[in-house]
Parts: sequence; structure tokens; C-alpha cells
Amino acid sequence: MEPRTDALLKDLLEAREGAFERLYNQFAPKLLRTAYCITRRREDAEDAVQDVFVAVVRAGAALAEVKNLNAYLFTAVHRAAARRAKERGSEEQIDAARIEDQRAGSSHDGEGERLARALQHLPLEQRAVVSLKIDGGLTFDEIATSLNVSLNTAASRYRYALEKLRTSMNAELQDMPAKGNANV
Amino acid sequence: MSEAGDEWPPDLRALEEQLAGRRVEAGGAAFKLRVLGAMNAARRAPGRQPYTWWQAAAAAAVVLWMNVSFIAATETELRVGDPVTATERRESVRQMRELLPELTEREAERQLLLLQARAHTLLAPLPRSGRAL
Repeated sequence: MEPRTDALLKDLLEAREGAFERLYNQFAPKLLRTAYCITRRREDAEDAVQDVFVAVVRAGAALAEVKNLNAYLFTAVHRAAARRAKERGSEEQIDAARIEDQRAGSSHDGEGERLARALQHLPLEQRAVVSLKIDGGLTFDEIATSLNVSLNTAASRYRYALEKLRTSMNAELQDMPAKGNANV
Repeated sequence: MSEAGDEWPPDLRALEEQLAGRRVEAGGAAFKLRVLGAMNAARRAPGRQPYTWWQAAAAAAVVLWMNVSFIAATETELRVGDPVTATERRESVRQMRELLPELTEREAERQLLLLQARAHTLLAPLPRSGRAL
């Protein structure tokens, strides 16, 4: 565990002043990205992240069992976000994807927007692996434990996801001049 | 980042960097306040919980003790001061003097009172139904 996280975990266990705010500042942005990547809804992502932080506070002395705070938080946020995504159901997810499609898809979109859109179209399992790897910085071993899959499954899901992202981004890039002409 | 070493294609490596740099419009200042508020509320709650549990347990014990005491006090028959009517007393004195004619009436009454008092001296109280506690 990195020393900074180790010290933070110690402060959390001792309920030191400012420890919870430091936890928020250090992890909230990345946890939100993971939660959003999984839920595809801002409100659900925020609720999932809040659930995780509150659970950390409630864990109290049980936090002493945590060996890797980073992996623990990202595993927790993955579970909270996946639960919320399931509660929404597949129809809501399709709606969300459709809304995103309508909102985007113009020739003025930057690469970031196209990447975000392509990411949203990946299956939940692949989105989760990508986010845990990129945002959480988890190893494949940690991801496998977190998702309860084998190491090979975690690694291959990640590779398939990136290849699919690359393909869909390239396809969109090729479609763009045609779409731009159609708009004119 | 890929853990794949040199086998990892450069374009996928570039894609990873792009993914790492993506922005999400969530978690503004209001959200931070909301989360820290929820964390503080959760932080206060566990401290109160054992105290509340302890209070509830103590109150339940007191109520139980009061209830048992009340039942014991009202349901226990100590047999002190059983009413003996004058007729019964006269009949008892008569029977005693029949058996022991040398007793005076006063002495017979005295013996009767002693016997009655001795009969009420109990080692343990008995419930009204007559069964031992």
C-alpha cells in the first residue's frame, strides 16, 4: 500500500479531524468516474459514491482489516454502482444511451466526447473492468478478486473492451464527414 | 498501465491515456457538502448506538423487576391475621375443655391463641393457590 493511503487509513481508524475530508478529496473524483462509467447516470453515480463513503465511516474498527484502501474503495463503488444500474433496469440504460447518442454525434465533437460515448456503449462487465483499471489503477489480480472472475477473464475483458473502443471510435471518425455533409 | 509490457499496441496505450484523462460532470461543491454531511451524520450515529442500547436494556430490566415485585407482592399469601370468628373460638375452647376438663376457660383461650399464632408462623410464604413458590 502506498504510504499516503496507509497514513490516511490510520487516520480514518482513529477518526482524526479532517481524515474524512481527505478521503473525499483523494478518492471522490476517481470513484465518481468509475460509478458514472458503470451507471451512466450522474445522479446514480453520486448516490453510489455517497453510499461508499458512508459505509467507510460506518465500518469503524472493521477498517483495520482493509489491506489496500484503494482496491477496497473501488470494489465497493463498483458494487454500489452495479446495484443501482441493475435497479434502473435495461430499459433505463437503453434510454440513457439513446439520450447520449442524440446529445452527441455531431462533427464538432472532440475525441473526448467520442471516447465517452463509445465507452457508454460497452457492456457493463467491460465498462467495469476498464474503469477499475484506468480510474482505480487496480491490477488485473485485484480486478479479478473484485469482480469475482478469473485473472484471465479480467485481462481479456479489458483487452476486448479497448479493442472495441478503438474500433467504434475509428468507425465514428470515418462516418463523421458523411454526417457533416448530411447536416449541411 | 496495461501490465502487458511490450506486447501492448501503442494505439491501445494511447487509448488508455485518453481514458485516464476523460472528465465526468459530477461531484461539484454541493455534492461534496452532501457527502461530508452524510459522513458526519454516520460518524455520530455509531457512538450513540451502544449508549441507547444500554439505556434500553437498563430500562427493560427495571420494568421487569418492578413487574415481578408487584406480582410477588400481590399474589403472595402470608397468612397473617386469618380471620377467626367468635363462634369458632368458642367452639375450639369448648373442645379443648372437653379433652382437658382441668383447664380453665381463660387458660384454654390462652392456649388457643398460642396455637393460632404458631400456626401462622411460616418458614416460607405460600401463594394464594396453596402451592409453594
